[in-house]
Amino acid sequence: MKKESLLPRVGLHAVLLALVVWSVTPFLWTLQTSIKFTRDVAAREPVLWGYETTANAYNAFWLDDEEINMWGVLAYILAFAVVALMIGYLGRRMRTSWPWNLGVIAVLAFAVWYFPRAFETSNEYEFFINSLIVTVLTVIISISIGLIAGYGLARYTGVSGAVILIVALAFRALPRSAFVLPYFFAAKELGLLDSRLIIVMSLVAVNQPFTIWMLRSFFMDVPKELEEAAMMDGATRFEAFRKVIVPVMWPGVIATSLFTMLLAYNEFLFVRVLAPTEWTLPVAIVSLTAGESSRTITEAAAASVSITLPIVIVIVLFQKHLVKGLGAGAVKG
Amino acid sequence: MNRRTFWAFTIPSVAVMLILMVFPLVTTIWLSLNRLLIRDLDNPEWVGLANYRETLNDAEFWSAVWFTLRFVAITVPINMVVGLGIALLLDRVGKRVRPVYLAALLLPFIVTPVVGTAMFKELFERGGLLSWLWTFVAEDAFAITDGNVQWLIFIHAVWYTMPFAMITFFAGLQTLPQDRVEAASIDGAGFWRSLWHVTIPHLRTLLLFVGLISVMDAYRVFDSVFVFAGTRFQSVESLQVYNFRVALDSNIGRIGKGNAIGILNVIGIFVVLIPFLYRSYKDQIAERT
Amino acid sequence: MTPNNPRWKRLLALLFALTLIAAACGSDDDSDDASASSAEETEADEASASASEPAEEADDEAMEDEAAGGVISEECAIPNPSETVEIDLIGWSFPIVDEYAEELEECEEGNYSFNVQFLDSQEARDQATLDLSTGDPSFEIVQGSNSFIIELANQGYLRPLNDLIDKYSADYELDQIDQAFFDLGAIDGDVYAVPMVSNTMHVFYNAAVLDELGLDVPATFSDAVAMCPTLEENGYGGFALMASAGWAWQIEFDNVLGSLGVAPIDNETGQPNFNSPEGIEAANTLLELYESCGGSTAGTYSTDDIQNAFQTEEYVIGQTWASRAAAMDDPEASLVVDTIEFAPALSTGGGVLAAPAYMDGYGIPAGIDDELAEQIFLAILAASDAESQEAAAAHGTVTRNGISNADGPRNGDAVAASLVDGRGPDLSHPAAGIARAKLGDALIQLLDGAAVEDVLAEAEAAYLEEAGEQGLL
Repeated sequence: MKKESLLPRVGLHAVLLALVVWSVTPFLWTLQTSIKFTRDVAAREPVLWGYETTANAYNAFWLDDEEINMWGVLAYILAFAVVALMIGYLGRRMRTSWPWNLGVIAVLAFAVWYFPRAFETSNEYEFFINSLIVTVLTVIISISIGLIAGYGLARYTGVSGAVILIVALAFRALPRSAFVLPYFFAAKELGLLDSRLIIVMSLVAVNQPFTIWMLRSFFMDVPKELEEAAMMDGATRFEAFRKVIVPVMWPGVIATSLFTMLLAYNEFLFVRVLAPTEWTLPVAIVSLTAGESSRTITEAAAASVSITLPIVIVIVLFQKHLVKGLGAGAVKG
Repeated sequence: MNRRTFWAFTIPSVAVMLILMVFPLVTTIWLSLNRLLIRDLDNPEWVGLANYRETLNDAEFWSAVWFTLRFVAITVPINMVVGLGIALLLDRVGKRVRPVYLAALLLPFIVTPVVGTAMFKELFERGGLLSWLWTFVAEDAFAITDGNVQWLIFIHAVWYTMPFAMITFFAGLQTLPQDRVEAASIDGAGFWRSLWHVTIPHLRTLLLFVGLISVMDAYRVFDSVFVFAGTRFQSVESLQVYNFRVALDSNIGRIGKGNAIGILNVIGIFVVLIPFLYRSYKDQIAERT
Repeated sequence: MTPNNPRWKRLLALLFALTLIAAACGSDDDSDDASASSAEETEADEASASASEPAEEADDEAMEDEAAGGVISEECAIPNPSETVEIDLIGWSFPIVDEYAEELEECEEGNYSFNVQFLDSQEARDQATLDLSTGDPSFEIVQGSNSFIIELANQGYLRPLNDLIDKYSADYELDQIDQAFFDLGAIDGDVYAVPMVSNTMHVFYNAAVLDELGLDVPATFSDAVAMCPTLEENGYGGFALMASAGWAWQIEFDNVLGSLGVAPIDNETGQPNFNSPEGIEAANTLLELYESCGGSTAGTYSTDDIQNAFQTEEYVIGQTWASRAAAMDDPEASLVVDTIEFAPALSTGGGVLAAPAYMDGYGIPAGIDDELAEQIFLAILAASDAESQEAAAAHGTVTRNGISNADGPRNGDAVAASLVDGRGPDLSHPAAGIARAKLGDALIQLLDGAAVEDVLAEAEAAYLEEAGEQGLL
């Protein structure tokens, strides 16, 4: 094509590689900080090569016992990861893949559950568990109610549908500060403060506008004739929705779930105010990185690497859905 | 779909939004009309609009307003233009290497904002990579000061919010019918003309969508400013950070005034957004007839 | 489809079930079990397996309990409560309080369970204050400096500990802790904290380098200013000063002001004294030191950075927290093991040193019932007994008389001099915290070229307005 000659391939890749460097440098820097000794990190001229490496920082963050061999921990993680990957890979070649996918989840859940029994873990591990629970619950609840609402909004032609969408869009714009103090006092009154429930509820609430907009635009892509045919055969609308529409909605559900997951996993402010002791990981890490009393730079770096890895893996696995989802959904906006 | 079915489907979601968003908003308004101190939570005292008057006369409030406006005005356009540019570049890359570029470029967007900020900041701290590289350009190692911290925050904002615009535009480009691009190139349209006449019109709704989301998110920036500036740099305080400092500082703790600032924040964003909301409403109604 | 449709009911049932899961996980404190059940969704066998575990543990502990003769263990020599006591601690971290937190956790062998939450110091204050203000605290122990303890006690958020101290003083030899430490955390005789750490600021110097450069250890601020050109010519940082945060400037300012014989506010009336000739002199003293010793970069060194800079020989002299002395000899982080020496704090030339008297201690929130408070207090006693303090002494200065650790910091004399001849503790007036906050906000602007007179006038106006608004004057 003509444009190919305008922008030679080499130039294209050079620009993109420069952008990649710009994107990932902070991550690589953090990674190398996390495996150094404090004295090398504190040096004014960075020690870039030939430094002694150590997993002490990871040990300090996650474990309660300095004696634990970190190679053992690594082997534990890798072993479960390999088993999960193998099951998942087998599942993709089978006709029905859902039992295999469930198997992957079971293996990973067992790994998470058994870890504190195999190694003496610190409080931070509980915060990791909190993060997992809050994220999973927020995604499940948010998507469940968002899915039916998105469907209703896509198929109903009355004015109240438009009003709901616009009010939801307005809610999307509200800053956290409009909610968090009332949540705090209400939670205190109801005895819900410091529980995962209040965090999940608040996250579901602030995420609901985005969820229904996004899912609605996916439903707009599903032809009406599909459920109409099913209803002609005698199915109720809900049956038609469940048996005919939901199965073709998986790409949309996955894309929306990914965004919801990012929101829940990354939330800082709500957790900070609403959960004085039941933190999730972002709060635990800020307690290391912010201000004067950062325990050590290396521990904060190790924590940062640890919190980033799971989400990177999830996004890499589902990247295709993310792009497809945004493309299919948002253009219709 | 009839009305009853519609409500049956939407009521859980609407109930969640009403209970968990309208109720707190009403509480916030009520609290903002009271004098309420953390020091003495049991005795709210009705003061009418005094908290609002005090906030509007507070120089720190206005400095936070200006910072927030600068933040929005600088980062949002850069995000959109650069995001679109990178999306166009990615669109030309072969299918095989594309996921690798995408994954790398998405990283800053998916990382936990408070953690990403700390990582980014660490590069500029003493012993950090960029601070050290600076010694090859200038005499002293780079240090974060009151003068440059604002620019670092802007640069960091582009680092972690631009990928959202990029991936959305990229996704939109994938739906661009190839025949239209080819038709334009057969007509002899150059890159810029086909961008202007074919690509951008196709992405029109997406541009609006990304712009709207970016303005909303930039306006309520908290995490990155909170971590970057900490308690050290007062000249860079976003409205949200200012709001929480007034409300929750252990020595000040003015819940009433804090909520008044919250309400002023809400009013502020709606002044900006109402034209867009009105337009979206019109679009929605038009779609229905 | 109508709401009467059975499908619709099934959907409602599903939602209800989800809400139940959420509620179960939300209120369940044992996160391990909750994780298993929620991540696996319905793995009943695992849930029951983990549910049976606590029971077994309890059996083990009962046996250990008998063996040890009524106390949990040698390291945690307090009676074991019959039911699990969960204790959340909030505070901010530095090496010696990390050690105390570990001493607390030794009681986990018994029916105690601890969750230690360290935040940045300002964050910890904000979080603790907000939480305690509701009268239904989420935390069982508040660890803080004497000024923070007093701020909380002034607002009625802490429980007076006198009854418990009287009851257990003899058994746990609390009289070994100097009464002066208890007084730092007391108002009108009501004691609000068990003193754990004694802290002040003093001069750190790299003896080898100063010898080589032929420099003497400074005693006054003008001595310090005079030596900076020599230091910088030889490639070292100037005299290190904590200048990277508002609160750091405020503490340094209060130190110099105290050295000039003036308190920042009147402790009886709350009227400000800091915008005065002495105040201007104090701020100018700091500004001169700052400008002639490091200039633009000195203001970017946090306490941690200063500690690191000493460890890597970037700084060879300065004044910082006594609690940082032990880290100088830590081989994992320091390149200057055994070369850093310590001297009393600087002065303005008079007899009073520019050093504060700080105590960090454990307090118990008000609103906790007496039985629980007693169990918490016992845990605090276990963490502050002679054996624990000896371990803590490896990292800093403890509060019991005659406790030392061979691996501990070598700054005992410097600490003693700075405490005895220093400006003393922060004020206890209810508005003192506001004065500190406003002074910090204003003084940090000196870094950006604001004039001393303007800054102090601004701090005074802001202080009078805020303290008046809060009804404290």
